[in-house]
Amino acid sequence: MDDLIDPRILYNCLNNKHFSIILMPTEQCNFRCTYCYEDFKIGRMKEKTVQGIKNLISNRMPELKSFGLEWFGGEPLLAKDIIYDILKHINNLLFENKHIKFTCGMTTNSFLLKKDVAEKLVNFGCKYYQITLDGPQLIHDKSRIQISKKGSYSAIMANLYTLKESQLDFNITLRVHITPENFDKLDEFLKMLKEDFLSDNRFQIFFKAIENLGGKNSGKFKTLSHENKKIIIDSLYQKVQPSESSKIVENNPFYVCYASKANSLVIKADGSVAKCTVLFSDDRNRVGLIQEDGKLKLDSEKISLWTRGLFSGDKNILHCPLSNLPKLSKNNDSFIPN
Amino acid sequence: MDENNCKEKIVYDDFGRIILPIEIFETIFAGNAQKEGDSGTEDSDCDLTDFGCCGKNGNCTNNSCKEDDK
Repeated sequence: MDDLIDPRILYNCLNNKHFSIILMPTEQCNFRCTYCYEDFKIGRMKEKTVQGIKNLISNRMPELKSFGLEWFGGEPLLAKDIIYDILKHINNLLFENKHIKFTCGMTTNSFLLKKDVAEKLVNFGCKYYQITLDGPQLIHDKSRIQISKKGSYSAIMANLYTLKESQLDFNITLRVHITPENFDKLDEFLKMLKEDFLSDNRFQIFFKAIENLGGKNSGKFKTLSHENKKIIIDSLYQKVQPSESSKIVENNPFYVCYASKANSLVIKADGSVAKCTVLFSDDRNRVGLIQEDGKLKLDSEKISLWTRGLFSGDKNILHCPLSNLPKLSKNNDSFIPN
Repeated sequence: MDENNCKEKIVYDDFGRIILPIEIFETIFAGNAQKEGDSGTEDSDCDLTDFGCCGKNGNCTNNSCKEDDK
């Protein structure tokens, strides 16, 4: 039973009262991080896809109990007009459907997250942000590089300090990437984060070891070994929040990845539907299309590859269905164009 | 389940609503022993927003279901 998950959690992953979408308003990015797996081939979301998303949400909203929305990219704030447009639509619907719990977040490099942008987003209900730092400026600026090849540390920190000084009701996760090169050079940096940000309960920290997730940068950077990863990350948590280190655990036994959930979809900028936000170049992750009228054409066979953990109850598969993702049957005749 | 074939397919309607044959529920819940007194399928207020565990949006700290549903 140790590897099986509570059936009530599985039920919530199959429940039509809960709906979760990850939207990619653009797949372009103003950064070229040295370890990034994305290819930036797709640009901004077209108007017909935006309209399709609005129609889909309008159709589903009245029956929902909770609606989760996450903005992803590329850098989503490069298309903030699309974000505002869709959030305004959602807010209008929420006004008529006050029973719905709406949770909205964004994975952003924060370069464009100025105070006025953050104010507008927070007022629309987008309160959760994940912002990545690769360490102190000398290290960060070597890997989180703007497309202009300039560093990004100063701009990100300036925005973070401005947000901290505001009274806005947000929750920012500072994601700190860990590599074999930086893990032993973080003491002063973590001291600064602890003193300047973590004392404010709107900020939290999350250490993430850099992983090789494919793409053209694959194999061009070093990663921590599996054995070292846990030891190093545990020790880093001890430095910033020794009394609360157990709160943030990557191997949360209850964790079900959004890709495993049957009621969670990723809608890409080109209107294609995916399950996972990593394996974008793989046909198994092109699971459908959204049409302008909001209707979805979904490939059940492909989706079943990602949701298989719901049937086995296997925690490891639910945690990351990409692991040992099965192959498609030979007779799968995909209707989704590449 | 034969994971190489993924026989249990979830069917969706035109707007992404899940249409589950009863057999699928049975498959899911038969394999998971329920504690005495648990309905096993009770609804909860959990929200589904999380940042996942992998890729650039990995987080795993925002999984409100785990607390709401316990």
